[in-house]
Amino acid sequence: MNTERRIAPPGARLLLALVVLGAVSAGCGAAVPTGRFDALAEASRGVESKTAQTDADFIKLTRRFMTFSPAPGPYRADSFAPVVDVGGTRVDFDFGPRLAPRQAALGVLAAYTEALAAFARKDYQGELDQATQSLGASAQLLASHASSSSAVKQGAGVLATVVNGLGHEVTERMRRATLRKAMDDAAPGVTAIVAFVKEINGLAATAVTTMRDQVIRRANSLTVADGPARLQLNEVVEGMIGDSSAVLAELKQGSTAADAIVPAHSEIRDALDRDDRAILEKLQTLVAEVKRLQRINASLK
Amino acid sequence: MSDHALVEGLAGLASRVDALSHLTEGDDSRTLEEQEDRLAKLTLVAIALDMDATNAKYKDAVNRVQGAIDAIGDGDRRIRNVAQVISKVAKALDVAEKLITKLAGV
Repeated sequence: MNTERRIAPPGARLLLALVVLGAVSAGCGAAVPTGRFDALAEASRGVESKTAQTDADFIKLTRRFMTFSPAPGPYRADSFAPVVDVGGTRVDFDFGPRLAPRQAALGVLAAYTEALAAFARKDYQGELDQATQSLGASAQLLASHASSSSAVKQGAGVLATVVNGLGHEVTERMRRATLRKAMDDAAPGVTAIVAFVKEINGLAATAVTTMRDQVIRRANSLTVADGPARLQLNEVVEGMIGDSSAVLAELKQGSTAADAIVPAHSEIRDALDRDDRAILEKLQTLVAEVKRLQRINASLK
Repeated sequence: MSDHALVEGLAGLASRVDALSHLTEGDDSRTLEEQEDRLAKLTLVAIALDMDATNAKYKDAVNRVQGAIDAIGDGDRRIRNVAQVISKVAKALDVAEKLITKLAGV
């Protein structure tokens, strides 16, 4: 057995040292890779815009539910408003105020990721200003809603503070260090916003299931003779069931896509310490989940 | 502090009461259907409202709803005492309705 230690020749050692030095300097002074920040921003904006469409569909579904539960008595302008009888009292169940803070929270998140993407580029000031304005407006909306949780308000505040701290002219080395700190500071805020989005999606899914089941029960209690009237009723009930399933799928996938933002954000942050060319698997997963979300086509009539 | 225990409880109870109404007949079945209808409406209003989970009346409503869920169990044919279930659901409904109408400001 040969126990002789192999010692690399001086030339090879120098080459190895240069490679190590190159790798270290790539992690410190090289230009920040902007594509991954752009992808994160695009994905966050994608979740926000698709959620807005889901909410519009959800409100349409509520209107359809009300055609099966109109206010008693003769028709009035508000006969189909979202109001139900509770213990002999008419009580409003408008979901709009419950959904609005979630949209504002997603707006904060999207503006934060856009601010990061802008800051990662050399000529960033204009876009950064725009993202800062957008974030401020969404944070203000979020704060104005009574049903926003304190956790999500705090989370939005954290992101607003982080983005405000990005505003100064920097060298490439400082840019990387600033992004590292910003993403570290923002991480709890991103997590709080995603948790809030999932919570509201869960409530919305419960509402959709409840309305669908009520419509089915009421349709079963109707006495409609076979013929055109029965076919019309079939069509309405089938539409309610199909559209409910589509909105439920949107809500579920919306939560999955939002959930993928946290690990992708963390992965991009960690990659600032490493090789810039590494493939970011969590970011790829996020982009794939957002594409799945966008493919669900449930726009209701 | 806000949580969704009451929403989840009401929705879960509505689903169990619905299942039980299909396993019963006559007056019991009709009563359960009416209760399921009331529970569904309460669920929708509870989702729209922001509720303080530290409120004693909120906690009482959550406990009553959970008690009714426990009384039904899996909602299968082993249910022996439907009258007792109906009574528990009725009490849970009364408590939850009072809480929700008060919170809704009506």
